[in-house]
Amino acid sequence: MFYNKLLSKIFNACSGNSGLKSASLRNTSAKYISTTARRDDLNEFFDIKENWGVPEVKSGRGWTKDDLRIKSNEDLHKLWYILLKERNMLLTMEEEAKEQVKLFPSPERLDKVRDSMKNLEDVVRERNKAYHLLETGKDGERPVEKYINPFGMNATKRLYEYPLPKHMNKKWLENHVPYKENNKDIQQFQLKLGENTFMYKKRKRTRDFNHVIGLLNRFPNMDMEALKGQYPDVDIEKAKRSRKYKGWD
Amino acid sequence: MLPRNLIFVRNISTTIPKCGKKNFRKFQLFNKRGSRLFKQQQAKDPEPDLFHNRGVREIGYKDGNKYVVVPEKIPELIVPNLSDCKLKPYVSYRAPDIQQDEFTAQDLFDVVYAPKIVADFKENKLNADGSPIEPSIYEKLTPAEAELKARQTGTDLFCSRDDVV
Repeated sequence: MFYNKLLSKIFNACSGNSGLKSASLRNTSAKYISTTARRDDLNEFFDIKENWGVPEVKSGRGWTKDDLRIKSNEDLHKLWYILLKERNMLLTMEEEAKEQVKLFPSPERLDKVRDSMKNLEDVVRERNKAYHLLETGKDGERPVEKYINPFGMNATKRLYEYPLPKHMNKKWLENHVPYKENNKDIQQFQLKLGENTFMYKKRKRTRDFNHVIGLLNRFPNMDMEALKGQYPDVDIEKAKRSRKYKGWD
Repeated sequence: MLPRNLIFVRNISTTIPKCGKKNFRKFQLFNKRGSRLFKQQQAKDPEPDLFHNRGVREIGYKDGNKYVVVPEKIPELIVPNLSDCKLKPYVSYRAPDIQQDEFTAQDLFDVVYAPKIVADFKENKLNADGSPIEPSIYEKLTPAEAELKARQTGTDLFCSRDDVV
């Protein structure tokens, strides 16, 4: 009797996840720890009383993509709201700590929740992509187009659907000014932008070169391959010929 | 000789210019802000530039003086029942590491289509060109229909910030 119950429990746990990956699921048993208790009122916006004013609140790690890929869509839907509630709770506690001029304990929890939510959305996006590629042959995501913006710089924009064609859509035309090559202001801007980028690159080259010489002086037995990997633009032989280089080979 | 009240006198001011937060000439008054007279003016003849939706999406469109509400435009939040849900916001550090590749179209095909094709092949229910004699509802689906089904109201069009530089 008890064994049957246990089996049905395991089956339910597995069937909750996508049938595809259930084979790999049977080997995984995850233990979760929680810092929050179950409540169903407005107090859910606050942490449990034991965690008020303590210097540190222990929590587990965030959800990785691999953890989330073996979950079903329903589980992901639930987990999204669990994470959302946790984030709301943490933000409330952070604000309250700020108000009382106290330290908010373990702020890394916010980062963990944020990363988990990002991962969750990416996993849902993967599944969406898979469906679209199988059924329609396209990835089903918002198309992105490269264009030259009014300042003459390369840019990318997301494409949206409009009920009106471009030439009839006054509002669209107001917001989308085309790039005019012969405009004097734009030409001046381009000139100055070019000068700015040129000077930035030139200064960076000199800075890196001098920095490499300094590194060579300080650490004569350095791994040259690693140095080349980190500063590929710097000619190390030339740096060693510099008068600032104090070592000798 | 000039009368006394017409003599020009130069003054200097020791007060600071009115550029602080109290100077309302600096700000635009959107929606319900402003004096009663201003609001009455706005009610009668509204300035379109002084309307701010505060980031709320429209749920319809304006047709002349009438506002037409489109039910599909009203956002709907589907919140699952979280009672008896054992998922937690954090994972224990003791939990075993899981290796799982990205879910691809091939995986989905293996689950949805492959078993039916294998069974049809074994029972000789395939035509000479490989198409099924008795297609399932998934096999009947054309790409256009599938796209229409996937792009129904409430679906997301994914586009990450990384794609748009």
